[in-house]
Amino acid sequence: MKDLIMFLILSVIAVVSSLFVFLSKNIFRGALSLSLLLVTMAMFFAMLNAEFIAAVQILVYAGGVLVLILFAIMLTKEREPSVSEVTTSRAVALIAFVVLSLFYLAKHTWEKYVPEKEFSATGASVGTKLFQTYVIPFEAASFLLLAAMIGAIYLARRRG
Amino acid sequence: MVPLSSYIMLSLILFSIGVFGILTTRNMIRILMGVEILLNSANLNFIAFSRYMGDITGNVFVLFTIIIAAAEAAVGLAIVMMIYRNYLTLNVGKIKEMRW
Amino acid sequence: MVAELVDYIMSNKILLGISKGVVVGLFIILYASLMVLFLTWVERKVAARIHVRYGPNRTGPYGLLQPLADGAKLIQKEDIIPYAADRLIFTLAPVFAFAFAVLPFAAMPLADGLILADLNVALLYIIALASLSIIPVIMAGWASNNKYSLLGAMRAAALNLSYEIPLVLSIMGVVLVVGSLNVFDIVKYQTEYIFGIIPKWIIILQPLGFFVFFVASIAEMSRIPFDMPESESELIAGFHTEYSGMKFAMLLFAEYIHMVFGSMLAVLLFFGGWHLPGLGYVLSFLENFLSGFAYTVVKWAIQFGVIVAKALAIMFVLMWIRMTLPRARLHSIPTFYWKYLLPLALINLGITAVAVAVVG
Repeated sequence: MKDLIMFLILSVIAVVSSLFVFLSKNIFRGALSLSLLLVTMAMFFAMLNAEFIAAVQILVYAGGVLVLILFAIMLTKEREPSVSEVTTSRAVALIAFVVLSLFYLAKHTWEKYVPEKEFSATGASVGTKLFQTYVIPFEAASFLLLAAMIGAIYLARRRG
Repeated sequence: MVPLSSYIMLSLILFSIGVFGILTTRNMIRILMGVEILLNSANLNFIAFSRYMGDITGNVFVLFTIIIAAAEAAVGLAIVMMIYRNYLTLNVGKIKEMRW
Repeated sequence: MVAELVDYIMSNKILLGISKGVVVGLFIILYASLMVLFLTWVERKVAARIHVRYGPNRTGPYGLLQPLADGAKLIQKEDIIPYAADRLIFTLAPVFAFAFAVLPFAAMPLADGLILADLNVALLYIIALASLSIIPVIMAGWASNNKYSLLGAMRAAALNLSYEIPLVLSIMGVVLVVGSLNVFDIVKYQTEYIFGIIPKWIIILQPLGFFVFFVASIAEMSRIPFDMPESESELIAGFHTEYSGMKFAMLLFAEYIHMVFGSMLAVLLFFGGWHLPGLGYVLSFLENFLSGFAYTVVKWAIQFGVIVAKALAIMFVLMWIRMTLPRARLHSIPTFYWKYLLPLALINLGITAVAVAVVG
């Protein structure tokens, strides 16, 4: 029962904050509501017994990516006043899509209740899997990070 | 215990909000923020399935997704800064020419 | 009647959890606040003595009421919000700064068994909160609508963000040696002895790691020599230029709580936590006299005292460094980081990994 209440509260916060990212006039507030979404996602992960991933999500996303986005917002300035991009037809399209697909999902998946299995995702078990079965993607990911770092530094340096 | 389909529905709602935002907004940084919302909704789906199926592979994949999202945000924002430096606007509608 | 109430709370799991959370949470916030008040006095006295002068000695004996005087002064100041500032974010920034500064204490044990949330990933949670606490700095700088605040906030955020990496790498060295992210396991590991006499404090096993951790945490706290964000004679006051009154007090509080937190983390990870070489004998001697609950409370009090004493020693060293070293120049900080600190941290991690793999 308390799981259900927690899930409902967190999902309302997540949906409202992700809507506010796009509907806010001030883009800084939009970025802050994105941070609220990221922390809410971490809470979802913790609820789903994935505590290691929850901590990594806060560490990388809320502490890294979000700070990057805030830096980019601080260093740029949109000169013209923002026109509201959400017209009535677009909002109706979004709501119609969401409602119809929710109906479809509910009709086809609700009764297929998946029984829970015993599960614990500690850092040790994730790490073991990472270094034994998935070691090649792990090394490839480290190369990707190196390439991204070099690319970002090269792109953002001052010319001349 | 919350049924698995609730998580799928929540992930769907967030995904559609993310796509809606990317398609409607004209500010470059908001588009990147929309991409982050998309990635987060997919991560939620992965972790929910990983929990309900008892398989830890979902967590490992989410770890990789987070890594790649961080790399992509870094490079994407570097590109945004370059575009801002050259065109002095963040409006994707105004960036129509390759050179002027 | 009280005994019945206590029994009822102990039997009901939810009530027990809530009451334990409230009591320990209040204790932690009280501890953090009193520590900060005490520290403002200690800092001024230590600074004064190093500068061969008296510190505050008018307010109360030895100036002990000085923090109260400071608090009273800050409360009665006018709360100014700049005209074109973003009011909501301007007001929320100190709130978030204080919140993110106090939250790591929830996962840090204050004694053997006195912890608010015994997490399996406690260290990762603490590091994640350290990286989350950059956001209030950026909020404060942006919301002030002031070029200099923005500049100070960006410098503070860049400093904080970059020096997190050696911090995390040195903590990973400790985790490699102990084999667990749980802080209880780390402290229990340090209660054993090598060769029977030397306690197995991790500073002995990882001296290079401790050096990297110490320097990185000085940078995280934005203290001199890494005072760049708040360079007192260069950038007016950095990101909290436009703050006055209680909001400024909150930001100052948060900075001191970061200092307390850094010292406590160093004590728990490197200096054995609540363990002193002879303390085990004293506690088992005491166990003969006292009953179960009273023994637990006395044990907790003694261990808490040990932790606080060690943390105060580290904070004294931090203040000592602040008062004797000059500020690092703007271009030396990245140079020092990329050329010396980060390679040292990586070398430490490499050596630790090889040693753990060999010794087992």
